[in-house]
Amino acid sequence: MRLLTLSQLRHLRFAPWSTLTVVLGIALAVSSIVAVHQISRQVVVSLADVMPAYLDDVSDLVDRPGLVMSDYFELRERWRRGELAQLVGLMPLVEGSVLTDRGVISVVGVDAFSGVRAVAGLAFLPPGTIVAGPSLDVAVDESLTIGDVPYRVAFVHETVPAGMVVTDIGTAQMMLGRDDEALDRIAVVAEPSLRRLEAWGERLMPGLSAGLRLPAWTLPGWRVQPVDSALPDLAFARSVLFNLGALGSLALVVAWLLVYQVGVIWLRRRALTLTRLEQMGVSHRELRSGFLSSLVGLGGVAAGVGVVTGDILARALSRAVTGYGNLGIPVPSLDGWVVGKALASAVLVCLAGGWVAYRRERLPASGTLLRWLFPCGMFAVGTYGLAGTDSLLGAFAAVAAVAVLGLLAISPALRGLKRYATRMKGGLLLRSGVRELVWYPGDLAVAVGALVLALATSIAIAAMVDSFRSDFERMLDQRLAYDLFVDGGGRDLDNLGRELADLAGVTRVQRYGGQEMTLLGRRLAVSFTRFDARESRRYGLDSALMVGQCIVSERLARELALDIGDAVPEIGLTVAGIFPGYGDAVPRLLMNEADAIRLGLPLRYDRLGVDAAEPSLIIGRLEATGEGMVVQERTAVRTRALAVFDQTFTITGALTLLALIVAAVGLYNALLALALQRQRTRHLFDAMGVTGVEQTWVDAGRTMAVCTLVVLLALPLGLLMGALLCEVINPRAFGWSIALAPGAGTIFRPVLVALGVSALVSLLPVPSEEVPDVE
Amino acid sequence: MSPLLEARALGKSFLDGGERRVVIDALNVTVGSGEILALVGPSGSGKSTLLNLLAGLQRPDGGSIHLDVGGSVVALQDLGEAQLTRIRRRCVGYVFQFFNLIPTLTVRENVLLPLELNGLMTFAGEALARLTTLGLDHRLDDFPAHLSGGERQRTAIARALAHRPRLVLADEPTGNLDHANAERVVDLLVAQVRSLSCALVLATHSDVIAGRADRILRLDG
Ligand SMILES: Nc1ncnc2c1ncn2[C@@H]1O[C@H](COP(=O)(O)OP(=O)(O)OP(=O)(O)O)[C@@H](O)[C@H]1O
Ligand SMILES: [Mg+2]
Repeated sequence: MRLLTLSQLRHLRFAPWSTLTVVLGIALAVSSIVAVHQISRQVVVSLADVMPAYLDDVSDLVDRPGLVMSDYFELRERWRRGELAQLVGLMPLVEGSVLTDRGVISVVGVDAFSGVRAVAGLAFLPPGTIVAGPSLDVAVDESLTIGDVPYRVAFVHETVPAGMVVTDIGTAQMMLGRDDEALDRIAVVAEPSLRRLEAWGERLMPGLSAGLRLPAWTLPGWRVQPVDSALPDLAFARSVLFNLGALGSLALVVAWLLVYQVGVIWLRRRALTLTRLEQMGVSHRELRSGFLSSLVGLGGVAAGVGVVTGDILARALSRAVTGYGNLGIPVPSLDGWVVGKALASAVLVCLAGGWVAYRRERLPASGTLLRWLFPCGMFAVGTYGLAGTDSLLGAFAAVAAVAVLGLLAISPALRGLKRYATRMKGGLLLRSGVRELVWYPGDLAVAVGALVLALATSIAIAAMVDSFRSDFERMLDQRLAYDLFVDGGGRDLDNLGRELADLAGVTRVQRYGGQEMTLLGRRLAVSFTRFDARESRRYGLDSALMVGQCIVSERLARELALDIGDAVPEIGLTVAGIFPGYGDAVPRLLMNEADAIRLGLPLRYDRLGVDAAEPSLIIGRLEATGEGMVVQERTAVRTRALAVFDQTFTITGALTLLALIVAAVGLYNALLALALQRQRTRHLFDAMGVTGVEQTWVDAGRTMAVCTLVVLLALPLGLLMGALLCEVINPRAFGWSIALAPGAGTIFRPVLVALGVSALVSLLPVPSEEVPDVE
Repeated sequence: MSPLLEARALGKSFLDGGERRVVIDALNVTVGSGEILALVGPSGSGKSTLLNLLAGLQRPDGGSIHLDVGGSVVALQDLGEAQLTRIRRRCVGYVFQFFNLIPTLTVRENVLLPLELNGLMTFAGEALARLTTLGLDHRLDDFPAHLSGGERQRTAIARALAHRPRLVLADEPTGNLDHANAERVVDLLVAQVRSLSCALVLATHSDVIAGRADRILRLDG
């Protein structure tokens, strides 16, 4: 074997602790990539529960007033003739609520042969039988009875949501007492090529694709509603996911920084040998390739370890925060995408990071101009991303720029600290301890950078989750202001509303109508109702919305640059309030009935909000109309939504914890590397009679100093990133902003954990090894 | 007068690739207070090892080391780490061949460090004056990385003497200096040791340097 190679290999054996810091650093980085990915996928799966199974593949729902079966066949004909190229499938839907011997159940009828994937096994469903969800508490072969007619449960399928059964179209029509022409909506799957791209992105960065808005799809003469807006809690779920995905990508950057840090430290520890070899005439090329191949070799081994531990870590964390067995959704098993992503990260970053590290450490400095241009460029990108554009990409660029600027600030801060430290007063042991810390600002900057980013991410996640939770409750309060909601699916519910209002036990019926219109070339949904104080309070107004006034959703306000007190162009109403419009697919405008009449809108009502003491009574009455109507019960919806979100937010706790663990182990690694570098000093201190306790005190002080620095930098950075996610990225991706409302405990928990862990880390033993390479 | 340091029947061996190598075998060493003793011997004869034993940095396999720590005599082989550390701090000054100085402390700070450790800041004036004597008055605020080899060793000497230890141990303090410089540094060391009347044990290869000592102990491996 060549002696040069031999010396590289021997270094690994002679300096086992240094080698360990390399392996540990890379394995940690890789395992954090894997764990974040796995936990994000778990969140994705848990949020997918919000989506009723029969809509899994569906992108939009289309309908029009007076829809009947023959409309569906006509549309299908057009599709088969190739006129609707954007579509890959369509499926008729019959929906409604019905009173059974087990209470009110929503019935969904689908066509299992239409080519759109519905509930598995539905194709083999005999007529007259149904598929139930697990929460309905009926076993296979038991029956639901409507009137006297029993409907046998053929399957229990876990993807059927609570309070719902799925069946074929004919059975649904029968159950709901409707004729065989009855049809409520048509589910379609649109835009295949973009969706495939989205699916790939999703496999690589779970959650991030939730923010990709596929271009709106229209069908003249039909109302097209993206599934998201049909299911507002789904839109909300996507937003949570997307933000998690964004933070997950930050975790990836943290991991890359960790790998780079390892490269720098390792190189530093071999500096003397490399210098000697260089003096003996070994070229930079040879030295660098030797260094890089050993780094990549170690990186490969470490990455393998990291993949396995990352998966174990994800499972352990998810179990720890959710309590064993509480959560129905397990962490998904490893797939090729995550393993590939982790291994590629490790190898590529080892190569690129090692190359950059070698260049910075061992070749003459170049490009001072770049050193100035880069931060200025970043600043410009950040400013443009925030103020100069309205795009999601701009907002992402701004977050990235903020993170990079935060990291760039570390090096000068440490250099300033070094200048201060060379002049500082105080005990000599302390002085030397502090100076050792900042003696090589370059090395420490990378370590501190990784820690700052990890801690900031963890703070941002915590702040975001807190804000989401309070906003989610506010959304539920806004949406679920009545005991029952009746959706007529395009039918006019005016008379029905009046009849219901006359029933005993009904205290209030609120009728809603509306239609889509175009204003200044923008599509928007206009809704009207009779606004009183209570109805206005739903949208955050203190008093009743008056005639001549309107309320607009945040998205509309932004698109038309409207503020409170402004007049809306073309229709002339004054903006009295702006509401978040959580999960609305299009901008919305709300007005009083009187204004709708004045503007000549057709006075049709397709939605009712009902307050009733005994909801089942109302359901019975609705049934008697013989028309399919979807009834949502407030308590059911609320419980379901909150359950899913609690689960999700709990899993998110695992992400926060993970970021902290990464920060803690990263800190240990950085400090271990520092400690190894200090061994000669340690030896001198021993000879001079400095006790172990005194040295430990100095170590602890130093660790606390690093931690304080990290916390001081991470706290504002984390809050800033959280604020950008809530108030810039979310509105741009989803149309509404989230008020950043982190609880004090949420922010300080990561900080406290970081400080505690750092104290613990400083007490861990520092191994000694004979490294001939320390200057 | 009783000796400052008395080692009897010292033994030390190392495990080297599975076989035991005896480095120091049944060695007797006596150092009187204020005496200068030179340790001479070929490379590998155990000079550094002996100094480490005398300082309590390593433990002997057998034998005894008695040190007069001012009034009382202690047996180093019976003491715990904490006590050994305390004795090194107060009674011993060490000069190594390389890497003597704390790289993150200036020349002045390096020299003041033993005084701070012992709570003897009253000696600060004297210790800094010694730096002037050693020709370092213009380098007080420099960090070790900026010093020449000779300057580093002179700083190390000033530091080893700052707290007026009873025993100074020097392990080839001039090993990496040229002849003229080496002799100058040793002369300064010897003069300072004599003026403080502390004892010095000096390991060296050089017969010229060993000639400055009161007595020479030969180790031959
Ligand atoms: N920690 C150790 N482990 C194993 N062997 C050791 C150790 N320390 C010293 N030795 C061995 O003991 C012997 C004496 O070493 P020592 O450093 O005392 O010699 P020395 O006389 O100071 O030599 P030099 O003049 O070259 O400095 C050497 O052969 C060395 O290999
Ligand atoms: Mg020696």
